[in-house]
Amino acid sequence: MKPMNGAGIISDRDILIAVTINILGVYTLSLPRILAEETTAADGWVGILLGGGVACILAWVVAKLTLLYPNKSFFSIASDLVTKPIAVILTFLFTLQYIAITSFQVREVSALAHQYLFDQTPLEVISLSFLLVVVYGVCGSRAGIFRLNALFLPFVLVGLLVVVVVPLVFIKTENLLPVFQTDFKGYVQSTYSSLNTFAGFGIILFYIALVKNPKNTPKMAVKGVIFNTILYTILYIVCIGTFGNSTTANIFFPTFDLSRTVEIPGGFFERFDAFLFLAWTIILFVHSLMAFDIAVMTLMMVFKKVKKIMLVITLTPLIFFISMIPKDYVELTHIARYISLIKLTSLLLVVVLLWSAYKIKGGKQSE
Amino acid sequence: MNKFTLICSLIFYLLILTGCWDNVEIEERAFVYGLAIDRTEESKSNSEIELTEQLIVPEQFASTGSGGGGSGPAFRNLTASGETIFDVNREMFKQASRTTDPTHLLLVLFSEELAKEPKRLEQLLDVFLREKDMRRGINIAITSGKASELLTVVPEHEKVPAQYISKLLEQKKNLEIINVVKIGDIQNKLLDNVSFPLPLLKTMNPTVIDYEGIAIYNAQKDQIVGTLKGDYAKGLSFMSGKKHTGTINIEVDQEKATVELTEIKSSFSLINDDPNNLHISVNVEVEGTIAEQLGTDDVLDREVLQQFNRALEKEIEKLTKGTLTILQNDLQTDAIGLGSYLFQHHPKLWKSVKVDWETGEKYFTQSRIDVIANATVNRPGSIIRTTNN
Repeated sequence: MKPMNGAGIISDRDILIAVTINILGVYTLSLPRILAEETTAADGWVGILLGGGVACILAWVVAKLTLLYPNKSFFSIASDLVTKPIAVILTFLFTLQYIAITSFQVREVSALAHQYLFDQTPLEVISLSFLLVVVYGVCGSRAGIFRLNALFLPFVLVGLLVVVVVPLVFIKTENLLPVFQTDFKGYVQSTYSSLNTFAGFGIILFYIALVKNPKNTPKMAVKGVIFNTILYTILYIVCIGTFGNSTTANIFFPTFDLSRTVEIPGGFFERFDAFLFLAWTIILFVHSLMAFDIAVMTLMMVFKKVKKIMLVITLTPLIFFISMIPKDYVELTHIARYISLIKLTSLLLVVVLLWSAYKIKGGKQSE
Repeated sequence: MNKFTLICSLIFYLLILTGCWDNVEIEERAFVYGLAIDRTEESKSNSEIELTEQLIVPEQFASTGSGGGGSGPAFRNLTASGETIFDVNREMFKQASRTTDPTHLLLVLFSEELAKEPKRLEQLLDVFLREKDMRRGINIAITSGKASELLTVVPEHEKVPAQYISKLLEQKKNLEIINVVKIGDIQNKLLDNVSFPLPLLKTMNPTVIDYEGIAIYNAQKDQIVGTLKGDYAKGLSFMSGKKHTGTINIEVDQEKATVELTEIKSSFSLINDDPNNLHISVNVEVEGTIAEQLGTDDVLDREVLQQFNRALEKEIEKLTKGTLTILQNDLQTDAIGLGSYLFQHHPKLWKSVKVDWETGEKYFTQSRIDVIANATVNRPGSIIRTTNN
């Protein structure tokens, strides 16, 4: 087996950044609401920590798995372990999944913009102009995507930091009481919900093959998940402290509304949310950029002779079309749930399948 | 690609990227600073409301007042009536000529009459939380009398009534004034079914608005059930441990004295947790400065200081007792947040009394609430006494 095309173009740190930024996303906006529905007062943080813990273990296992065959693509690992036809099916499953994710992000951008910015501007126009920028990014080199990640991360982090720090003044500690009054079912549900939001680390399955010196990569992937766990915990506590449990459970995007409670005196800054919209658009952009890239990458693993640009051009209309299918916001929220479910189960399925195949074969192929 | 096509496509891109459908020039926006909601005078159908919007006139608002330009008012009030606020707002477009823009809305006033109708207040609040242009920090107040009248009161030092009122609401140096009530806080209380106090305003004369007292909203009946004024309002402030301060009059040696409170802390503690004999004590801790004394006591004397402390404690206990009697018996409304305290610190007990807290068994009315005040006068002011006789 030849090393994968483009292997060695990124470093450990790029994986850390990619994982961090890919877990953040639309789910970050609505996570506090979902957790608040399921738990009493601020107990949701237990769910986040547990969910984060499980995600850490999963990320470690996935990273270790891909490292059994350093710098080999997912497709070649899979065809080696579980025959070629099954590998083709698995790879296609991921292609479909990432196409769906890209479409979802593209639609979500316009949905968000509609909710907070525009009334008249048509959905299609926002989505299309966003998608075209994403296409431009995907057409370039893969290393460029990681550089964009690194470039955007500070903006995103500063944005989130402001969201978390500024409302600290408004926190009412009594909103955080009483502690541990949630029933067992609530904890299980909230762990599951938060685990769903962590599913974004799945990208390492495809990107680790590109790492130059992948020895420390599992650690980096886990670090990315831990970072998000901490961030989510703080975010959740700030949300509950500011709004109270019942209100958090009744706001569509509590994280976003945090920025609307912030009022910096002076006419212009009284509306602080505009700046935050910037951060979220960046997150969604990078998110869909990576998802699209993986969709293309998985296709190229199977069809080795097809040019990248051809694939991109074929996929773009498809993605746009799919993104326009959901009729309304109710469907969109359902789809969000299904997508993260699929992300998680497909990851679990592949990990279990490949690990057991590796164990059965005795693991000698890697040497 | 030759240069011609390149330039053509660039121009094309420029054309399609010039802006979005939603662009509204800033000159075209009429910023709304205040809203007043009343019942319609005729009240054809019961649900009709009359909405008054205070729009800013930017030209007057921006001028520094030192001559130049016209000297008209810096605001413009429009009134229309209809079924829902959003609907009336659109109705107002027929009068406004500019698109109304609530992004900088400061406050919403509801007339007492309207707020006393069951469910009206919570129904009317929905739009302020739902609309994307609204902030969660909009101030709310109830007005005795017509709400729209308050938006016509122009004080000498402010250009826009809405600004004057919202600054008035934020005043912190009086005990009869409660913490500012923001729309975002109310949502949580409405969702949790918790009663809460609201500021009550009144027009005194064409240039002055008076903070009249505190209106009490009952979450079970979904309406304003009564008001607390004067000393009763002060009593409420002591129990809910406000961040702000105020003054209190006491009597020492048959002579009046005023103490300025610098800090008020209050906490609840549950003494008996049997639902039928609930006993809760409210511990109020205050620190104060002697601000004015009509007598001639030697304030350096420990005895005298103790007298001041005792008098202060007695006065606080008297004030709060008065307020509690009204809240427990007349209004039967837990406006001091005892229910929230029980939920937060004794969740098991709260589960059993929650349903019958204010209604039904009326555990709130029946529970015994004691106020234990602990006062410390820690600064005598700059002098010992003014006269010797």
